Amino acid sequence: MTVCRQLLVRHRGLDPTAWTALHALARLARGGRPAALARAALWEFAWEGGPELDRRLADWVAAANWFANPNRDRATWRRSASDPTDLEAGAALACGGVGSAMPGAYLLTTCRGAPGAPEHQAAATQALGHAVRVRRGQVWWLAAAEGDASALLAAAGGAGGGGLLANPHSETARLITAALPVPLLGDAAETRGPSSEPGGAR
Amino acid sequence: MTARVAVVQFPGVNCEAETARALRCAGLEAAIVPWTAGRATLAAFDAYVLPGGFSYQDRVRAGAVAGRHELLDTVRRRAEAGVPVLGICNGAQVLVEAGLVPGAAEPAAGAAAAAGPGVALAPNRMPDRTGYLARWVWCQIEPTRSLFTQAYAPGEIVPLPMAHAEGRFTTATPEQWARLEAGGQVTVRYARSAAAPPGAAPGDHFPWNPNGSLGDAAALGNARGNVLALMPHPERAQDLVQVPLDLPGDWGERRRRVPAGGLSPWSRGPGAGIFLSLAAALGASPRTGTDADGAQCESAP
Repeated sequence: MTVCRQLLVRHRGLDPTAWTALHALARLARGGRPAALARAALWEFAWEGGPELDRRLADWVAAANWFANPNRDRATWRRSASDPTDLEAGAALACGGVGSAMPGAYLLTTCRGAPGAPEHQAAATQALGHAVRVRRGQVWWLAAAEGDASALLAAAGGAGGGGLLANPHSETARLITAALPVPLLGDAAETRGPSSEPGGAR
Repeated sequence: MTARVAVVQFPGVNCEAETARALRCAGLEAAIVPWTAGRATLAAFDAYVLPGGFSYQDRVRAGAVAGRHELLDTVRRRAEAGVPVLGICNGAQVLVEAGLVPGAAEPAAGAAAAAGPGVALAPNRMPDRTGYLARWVWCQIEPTRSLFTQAYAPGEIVPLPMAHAEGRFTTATPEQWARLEAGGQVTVRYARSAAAPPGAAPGDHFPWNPNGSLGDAAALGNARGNVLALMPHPERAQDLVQVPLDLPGDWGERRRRVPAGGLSPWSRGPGAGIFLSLAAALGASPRTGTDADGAQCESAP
């Protein structure tokens, strides 16, 4: 059995990147008005076996100091789509509480050709004594005061214009209008562009 | 009348003063124009340079916010009219995000590229590490129509400093990159050494290609040759005194002659050719002596 745990890490306070992106989107948006925007780093840990690794994984992640700074960040563990993401609360921080009650949509972005995190994977596997697959991405959550949040996010993700939140030439973007699934970063996300590894195309 | 160049300052850039000085030494009139300036003010210049730094603190992606600033619409219209536009490091990232590089010659190809920038300057890809890297690199000037490299001999290899975390030129598909290569838009490539061209053997590109850039590209221009996105910093190699004393090759030899008085520290450095090329395109002659800010400029190579 494959077990997957999802970790979302956002700023406890105002996220300056989300704040700046929200104001840039407000200026760029056509056919809508964004009201709130939040951003979280996404980490997924997967392993074969049972959930007995849960506690040790959580302890290691907290101690590793690679994933979240407890003095600055808020980390949320998720096991399934029904678990809360806490992203809406992050957006509310930046927008005076405006965003949290509004319907929103998610945008998942990953670096094209590199969704894995080999250094973190090697460290986790060594520390836990169990093969653990580690992947990473970034999740944005947007609510709209006017118009459709999904359409605004789709534009910001590069499909149809804008591309502020994801450059389609180096990143993949996936719009999610329902609850954020677990897992989110499967093998299917590993679409590759041209090789740009050292030794690649020339 | 001396041609006037706007050094466009977005919040967070930090190379505007030395870039303006390099332009003045090349014989041009340079003014630092802040992001609060009006479009009409900006439109009155004869050329534009977007300097290095961290515009908008590199939030979201390097250059992503500045690249969508309304002033870029003015720069784009001027570029379409043939006016020279140079982006250095963060300025290059802004030009890429704004779509001025590679420009209209790169058509949309498929859903992934249906909108947004035609290329990306993605995070560096290096063995066993990620993030920011600063070092001197060897740069080979390609024989292209770019007006920013005409002061160099085609194939000339010069040392320049680079300092960035997101400098890897890449495209969504290999075909898109192949079109840029075929169109002669790769203007500068990372070279193996002072004497060895890039791509002599596959593999082991790092550290001479410092970021995993496709085609070992250090600079990419538009098809017309009047816009250039250059990742290394020529303004930090404007004067001979800025070259490291321990650098191998001709430029290192020249630098080592400075302490004994064999050469002036203010003689031209390896990066000066970028600004001299622009000056030549605009009909200006290099300046010698002290400029209005008290900076020394010498025209001797």
